[in-house]
Formats: sequence, C-alpha cells, structure tokens
Amino acid sequence: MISEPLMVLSNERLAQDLCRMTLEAPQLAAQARPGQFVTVRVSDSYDPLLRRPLGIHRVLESGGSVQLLYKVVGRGTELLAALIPGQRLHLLGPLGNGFSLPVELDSALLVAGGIGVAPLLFLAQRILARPQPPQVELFFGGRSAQDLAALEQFEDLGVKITLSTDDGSRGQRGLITELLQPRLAGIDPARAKVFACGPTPMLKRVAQLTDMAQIACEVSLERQMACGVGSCMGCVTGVHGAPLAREGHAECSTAGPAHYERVCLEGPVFDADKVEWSDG
Amino acid sequence: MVDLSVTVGSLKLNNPVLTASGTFGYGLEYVDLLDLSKLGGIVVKGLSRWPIPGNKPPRICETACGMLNAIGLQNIGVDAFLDEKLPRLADFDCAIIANVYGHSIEEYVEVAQLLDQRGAGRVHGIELNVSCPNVEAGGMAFGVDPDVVARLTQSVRQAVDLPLIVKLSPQVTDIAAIARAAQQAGADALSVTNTIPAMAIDAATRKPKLSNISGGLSGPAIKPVALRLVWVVSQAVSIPVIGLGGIMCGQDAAEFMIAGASAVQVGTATFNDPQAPCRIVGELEQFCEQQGIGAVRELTGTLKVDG
Ligand SMILES: Cc1cc2nc3c(=O)[nH]c(=O)nc-3n(C[C@H](O)[C@H](O)[C@H](O)COP(=O)(O)OP(=O)(O)OC[C@H]3O[C@@H](n4cnc5c(N)ncnc54)[C@H](O)[C@@H]3O)c2cc1C
Ligand SMILES: Cc1cc2nc3c(=O)[nH]c(=O)nc-3n(C[C@H](O)[C@H](O)[C@H](O)COP(=O)(O)O)c2cc1C
Ligand code: FES
Repeated sequence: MISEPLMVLSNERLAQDLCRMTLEAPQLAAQARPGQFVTVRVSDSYDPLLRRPLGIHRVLESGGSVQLLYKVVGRGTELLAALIPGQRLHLLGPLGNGFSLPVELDSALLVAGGIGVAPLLFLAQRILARPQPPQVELFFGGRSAQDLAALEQFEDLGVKITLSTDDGSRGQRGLITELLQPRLAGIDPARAKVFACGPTPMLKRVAQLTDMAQIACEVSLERQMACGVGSCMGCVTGVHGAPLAREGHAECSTAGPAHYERVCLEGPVFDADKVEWSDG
Repeated sequence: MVDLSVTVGSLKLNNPVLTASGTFGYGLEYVDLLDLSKLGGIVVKGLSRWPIPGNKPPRICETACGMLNAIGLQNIGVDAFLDEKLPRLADFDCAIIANVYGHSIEEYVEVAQLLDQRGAGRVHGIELNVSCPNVEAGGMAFGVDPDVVARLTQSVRQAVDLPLIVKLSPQVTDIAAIARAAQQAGADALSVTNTIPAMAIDAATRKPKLSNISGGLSGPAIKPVALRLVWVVSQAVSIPVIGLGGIMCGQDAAEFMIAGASAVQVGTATFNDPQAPCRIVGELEQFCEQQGIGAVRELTGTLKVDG
C-alpha cells in the first residue's frame, strides 16, 4: 500500500463534468488489481476534510502510470479537476478487494452505469491480457451520450459494446439492464460471469437478472467513506448470512437481520447474491 | 533532543500522542501505513461483551471541517479482541488502551475484568466510554449524571487493577461536576472529549444525511469546544487529563497540553492523513525544539491567563 503525493502527468476534461487524470505511480501500477480503488486528499486545508474514493481506471502499458476517471459532482471533485500537470496529489492505495476472475470463463459481461464504467476498463484490460481470454462485452448505460466515457479505449481492446441512454442520444433509449436481460438468456451460465458497477438501482436489477439466469455476478458498491482502510466502520453494507451472536442482549443499535461488512475492505466488490439490497 | 515521554497516572507513554478510539480500528489496520511503535499508544475501537452489528448505513457524512458519525458501536466483542487482535498488537512498543462500554454497569465491569485478566501485560489501560445509552436509565447516556458516573467508575475501579481512564461526553450541563465525580470514584485520568451530538440534512430530499438522524461531530470543527472543555476539566480535578477533539497537527497537540492535558489523542485527522498520528509526534517534537523546551511534559497546564 502506498500513501504519498504523486505527480499529476495530465488532467483532461473529456466532457462538461467528466475528467481523466494520469498520475506517475509505478508502485501503485505494479500492485493494483481491477476493482481496487484509491483515496485522494483533495485539499491541503481541512475543508473538504475527508478523502475521496476513486476507482483505478487504467494502468498504462508502460507500467509507470495510473489513470483515474471521475465525474465532477461537488467540491472535492471540482478541486481535483483544477489540478494541473506537475502538481502533486496525495493518494492512498490500492484499497479494497478487487474483482475475482474464475479460470474457466467463456464470456465476461461488464455492466456499467454512468461513471461506474471507471473501474471496468482496467478489468477489461486484465481479462484480455490473459493467455486464453474469454469474450468481453460491455453493456453501458448513461443518461445521455456525454455520460458514455472511455468508449474508444474499450473499442481499442476489442470489447463488444452495447449502449443505452435515457434520452436516446446514443445507443438504445432506456435502461441498460433491458438490453442485458435477453443477452443473459443466450449464454452458458456455468462459463459466464457478470461484473457490474454503477448506481444502486441498476446493480440491484443486475443482481436480480443474474440470479434468475443463474450466472455468477460481482458488483462494485459505493459508500461514503472516512478511513478507506477498515478502521472506522463508516462505509458498511448489509450482507446476508448468520447474524452476529447477540446473546439476547439489549443494544445500542437499530440493526436489521443481516450483518454488516465494510465496503472499503471486504468490498467494494461483493457477490451480487450476498448483498442485502433492501437497505441504504 | 526533546524528552517526549509522559506519564498519565501510572501509565507510562513513550510520547504523549495516542490514537482515539473508533478512528484507528484495532490498530492492525495501520501496520502497512505507519510504525505503531512510534506512537505513544493506541486506544482501540470500543469493546462490548458481545459483538454488536451497529447502525444501518449511511453512518457517516462530511460537514464543514468535520464529519458526523453514527456507527452504533459496531465491534467484534471483547473475546474476539483478546483472541484475535491483542496477540498481534504485542509486537509493538506502544501502550494499548482498551475502550470499553456496556449497556449496564455489570457489563462494563465484566468487559473490564476480562481485559484485565486475559489481557494481562498486554492491555495497559482501560478507557470507559460513558456516552453509551444506559438501558436501565431508559436510554439516557451514563455520562450525563455525576452519580451514575461515580457508581460506574467505582464499580470498575474495584474490579480491575489497570489504569482507569474515564472518557467524558461534552453533552452535559456541568462537565466539571462529572469530572470530579469520576476522580472521587477512583479514575486515574480523564479523556476529554467525545464527539458532540449534531446533525446534517439534505435540503433537496429533506432527509437526514444519517440513517440514525443525528450523530457525533468530530474533526477540526470541534477543536475550540474541546480545548475549552480540557481547560475547564483540568482546573476542576487533580488527576491527569488526556485531550482530544480536532487535533490535526503538532501545534494543535501543544495547545491541548498548554490547556492542561498530559497527553492527547488523534482521531478524525487520521482519515484525512493516515500518517497523522506519527506526523504529529514529529511536529510536537519540532515545536518543543523551536520553543527551547527540553521535555514535552513541561507544556502541560502552562496557559498564561494573567496578561
Ligand atoms: C469505492 C469507490 C470508488 C469510486 N470510484 C469513482 C470513480 O472512479 N469515479 C468517480 O467519478 N467517482 C467514483 N466514486 C464516487 C466518488 O467518490 C464521489 O463522486 C466523490 O467522493 C464526490 O466528491 P465531491 O466532493 O465532488 O462531492 P460532494 O460534495 O462530497 O458530494 C456531491 C454529491 O456527490 C455525492 N457523493 C458524495 N460521495 C459519494 C460517494 N462516495 N459515492 C457516490 N456519491 C457520492 C453526494 O451525495 C452529493 O450528492 C467512487 C466511490 C467509491 C466509494
Ligand atoms: C468513526 C468514529 C468512531 C468512534 N468510535 C468511538 C468509540 O467506539 N468509543 C469512543 O469512546 N469514542 C469513539 N469516537 C470518538 C473519538 O474517539 C473522539 O473522541 C472524537 O472523534 C473527537 O476527536 P477527533 O475530533 O480528533 O476525531 C469515534 C469517533 C469517530 C469519528
Ligand atoms: S471507510 Fe472506514 S471502515 Fe470503510
């Protein structure tokens, strides 16, 4: 794990609220696995105070640099967008567990919603670098055409792409899960896996569809984070399984039936069927 | 060379900088990020008798120069701490302080006794978190009533030999009265302060930002409040005070010591900079050097109030 200021090599604006930053980070590039993330300190002052989590978008072939793809949504990401080459960004990572790739696989279906595409490029990169790679397909939905980032990079890798937008400005009008559903029907469930990242309602639907089709599915979740390393218990998500032993005790908490796991440490990638989709 | 060692009652620390409970896990989360042996001590996440799952998410949110949390005391329970975490913490040369809470006085006593007996030699002190709702008193926190604080402190004092620290809540009318009650009941030291009850709202959705509706405020936003409480408490008692609340740098730590603290804890700063606790040790040493101070303990209680 590294925790240090890294040199910004470039920081481009790809669309109105979409940016891509390249950082000189040989150690991170060597250690990172797809699905892992970093946290960045966006300010030297204490406002904003908390670091921002961002997925690892791409490790450049030269191996010495790492790219982040981010959407400008608030003060933290605005400060990031203002960085210029030569400045340094304090970065902690790689964090989290990352996606897991079964050895025997004919098709890998990547499902992205909006900026959820960020970690999936690195995943596609690594899947396709395997000796006998499975077919990789990307199902990518956004609100409109501008949200569909990094398409060229996926094309360059030879990924088959299916697009949708809410407003119909690119691809089919509607939700990407509507396009995913028929595709799942034509697949050998034992030799396929779905990897999804995006807004929770989308992930929930992907989890339903893959459950019905009996296809393995991993989802990458987002939560507000403070520490990023498993120490604060702030980022948890409910998971199915045996509740913690409570010995009939009265409690300080209002916990439900599931127990909680940390998105920053046990995640951000979870088996879709493990996630308790009912809670926040 | 600045002498950084301090004593807090019978507790001997290599330096005055500890990590605050709930912000440093069980310590082991940070072994890749900093050298735990460079810390004065680690106060581990609050431990209860049995594991507790905690509150529903969202549990944290950011506020101006601070954050709110309503973790709901999620922890692995005292047995798992003793079996799985403590043996590995023994590799490091720093004090290990167990933060404890219970839903009844009996539960506090039981957890403290287990730590004293089964953690002998490896647990160096106990810190009682009195902010937990007291089930018997209808959910009111233990820490708001001097009589309850006294009874709780005395019960644990009689049950264990370890140095006993009582961590005070800021949400009381007269913190000096609570502090005196803890001292009279046998506390060796006091930690001041815990988080401040607060809330945050999303105006667009009109929803609270935490599922628990309100939570505890920490970080630089609370530093001026915490600093005053440390000063008030250190005036009211003769036992040592450990100061905390928004300490981000060595100078902040020095201010808490000047206000009356013998040691400090670093909490939310670690989320901003995972190396903060060690950095603050270095900055405090540098501050002393610049000020020509030979031993950091000389800072304690040196506030100049008359001109
Ligand atoms: C593991 C992980 C990986 C992520 N990877 C990426 C990535 O690769 N690219 C990217 O653009 N974003 C990513 N995010 C989301 C990103 O962290 C947030 O968009 C960012 O923290 C917002 O910061 P801000 O200061 O600009 O916005 P704020 O001012 O903090 O908030 C602005 C808006 O963004 C929302 N927001 C804040 N934090 C989060 C969050 N953690 N998740 C979702 N929404 C949030 C707020 O609710 C608010 O509506 C990731 C989040 C996680 C947890
Ligand atoms: C996420 C989080 C969890 C906490 N958990 C505990 C706890 O279990 N026991 C306790 O006594 N204090 C707990 N605290 C309070 C801190 O130890 C500390 O008193 C408070 O955060 C103020 O210090 P700071 O501003 O330096 O963070 C917690 C604080 C945070 C932010
Ligand atoms: S962000 Fe602290 S435990 Fe995950």
